[in-house]
Amino acid sequence: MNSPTLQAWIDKLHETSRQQSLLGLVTVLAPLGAILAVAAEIGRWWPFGLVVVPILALASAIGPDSHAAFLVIAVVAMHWVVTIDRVDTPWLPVASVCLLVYHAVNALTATFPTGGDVSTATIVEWLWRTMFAAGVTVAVWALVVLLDGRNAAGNGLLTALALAIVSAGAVVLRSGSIDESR
Amino acid sequence: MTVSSVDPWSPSPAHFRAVVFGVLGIALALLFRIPAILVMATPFAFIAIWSTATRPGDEPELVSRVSPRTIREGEATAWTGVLSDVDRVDHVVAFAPSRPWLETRPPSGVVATNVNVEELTSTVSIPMRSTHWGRHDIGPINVVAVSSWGAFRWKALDVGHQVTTLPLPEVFDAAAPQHRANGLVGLNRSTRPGDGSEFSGIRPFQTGDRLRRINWRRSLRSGELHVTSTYADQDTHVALFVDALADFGTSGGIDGAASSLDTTVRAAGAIAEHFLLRGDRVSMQVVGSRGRSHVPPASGRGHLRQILDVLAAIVPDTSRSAANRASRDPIPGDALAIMLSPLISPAALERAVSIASHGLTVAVVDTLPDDVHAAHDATTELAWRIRLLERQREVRSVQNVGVPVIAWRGPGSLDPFLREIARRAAAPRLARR
Repeated sequence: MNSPTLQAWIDKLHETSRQQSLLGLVTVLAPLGAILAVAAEIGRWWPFGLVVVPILALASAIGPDSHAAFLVIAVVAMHWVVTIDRVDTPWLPVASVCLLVYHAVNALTATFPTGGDVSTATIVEWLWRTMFAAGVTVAVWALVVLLDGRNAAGNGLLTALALAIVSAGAVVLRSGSIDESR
Repeated sequence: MTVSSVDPWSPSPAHFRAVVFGVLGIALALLFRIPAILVMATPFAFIAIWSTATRPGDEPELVSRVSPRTIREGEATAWTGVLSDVDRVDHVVAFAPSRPWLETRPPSGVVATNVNVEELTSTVSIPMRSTHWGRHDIGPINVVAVSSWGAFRWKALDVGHQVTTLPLPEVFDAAAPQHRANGLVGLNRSTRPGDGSEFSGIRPFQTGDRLRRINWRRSLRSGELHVTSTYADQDTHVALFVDALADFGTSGGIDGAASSLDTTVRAAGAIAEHFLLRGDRVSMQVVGSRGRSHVPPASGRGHLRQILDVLAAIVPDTSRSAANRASRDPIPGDALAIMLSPLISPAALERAVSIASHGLTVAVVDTLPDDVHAAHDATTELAWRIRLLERQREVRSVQNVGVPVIAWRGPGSLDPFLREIARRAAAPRLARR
């Protein structure tokens, strides 16, 4: 006899719609794509990541409203930063877009319960948005590569100003996200 | 409006993720001068800004309804929710959890609808098919409005909807001649002359006769006015007694096997429909139901609906007090009494004998399914077989006192009984008063 938790998982798997299964597959494959981009850049595999990241991604596909997706993105981003020290590689936007796709699909999956389907119009709209965000990411990467080639000297004042702008942006995002009246 | 709780717009874990990775990533990229982090943080910052900029300001208002509220078995109804003030809402998701005897379409009960930019309202609908008679609760329905990128969610819980599923009467017809008539109007020929349609004879004109009844040929031949007389058309009072003291067998809804109560309810509906559509009066007493148990005699389609409503509200009451209450219910004066029962409780047979002893013509319709199985353990199985043997003996003893017991077989089930009582109608009977 199965434990209640395992049985609940099995029941959930049975109830999963075809659309949700496909979105779940994308949720698992997208961070794996980012890991493969790192492997393509450094020329060797990361066995730990190849095991842990898909498991975490699978957990986030089953529970899209959990913070498992947070861990997946953090692990992949940290792996890139630790192993690769260059920005002018085309694998960087590939990895970034993979993480973007993972985040978007996970966010979409979290909006409807097991067994449900979202309309094709919604999926198409999300696809356009994701492509737009991917375009912005590629544009930023191109700009960064361009600026990186100029090898400008560091400027503490500019850095402090940028940090202040980011902080202000964070405050604005926070105040816009949380209803202060509650 | 039955919305029980509303959660205002609140950020989702996805928005938290986008804000943290966006802000933290850019800050770290600046601090440690790692441009790769900036590239990786860009989509998250972009999404966080987009989501915050398009955060819905107004709280949507949900107005929901279930229409139609009363259906027949196998028919469909729909829960419909209309959300107003859906400016900046991306899509709306409604979820109806699985309920007994209600099939949702899609089977998951989840329906999502896209919201166009120009629209100020969004309508989401969940069709449902009822597969069993009775009163069924719908919901609670979860309604979630989602903003761009799934960043913010507004939730509402819609409760309190109920749909009444009237039993779908089985196919029933009776070709046998009718029981003697005792009412004032109806389709059955009475023994008395009156204003009807069936020819009785030709007699001399009397004061009060209608002019259109004058038989001119006979009047001209005889030289004095004659009229064509007819038998009065009259109705019958059919008293239904429904045994709801217990339910035996497995019910599979309209598409599956029928339990004893299913057969009882559907047969009662079929018999009531048959006689009411003929213009007869039908009354009903439900023995052992927790709800309303008595419907006074009346005729017409409206009355059929009243009877089906009471049948739909039956909840078996297995307590001993219910059986005792049944024996105290009044017995109608002069009616054709039909009792529908699985005959497992002796109370139903005792009641039938009691009605017969008051001079009424009674028939008992046996509604016990053929394939009722008791529990798998041998003791219960043996007890059930012993009860069935006792039941056979009780049925024989009731038949010996002149109460016919007929197994329900659909159309024509009551024909032998109706023929027999039509034959005996003219004969004098002994009744205890």
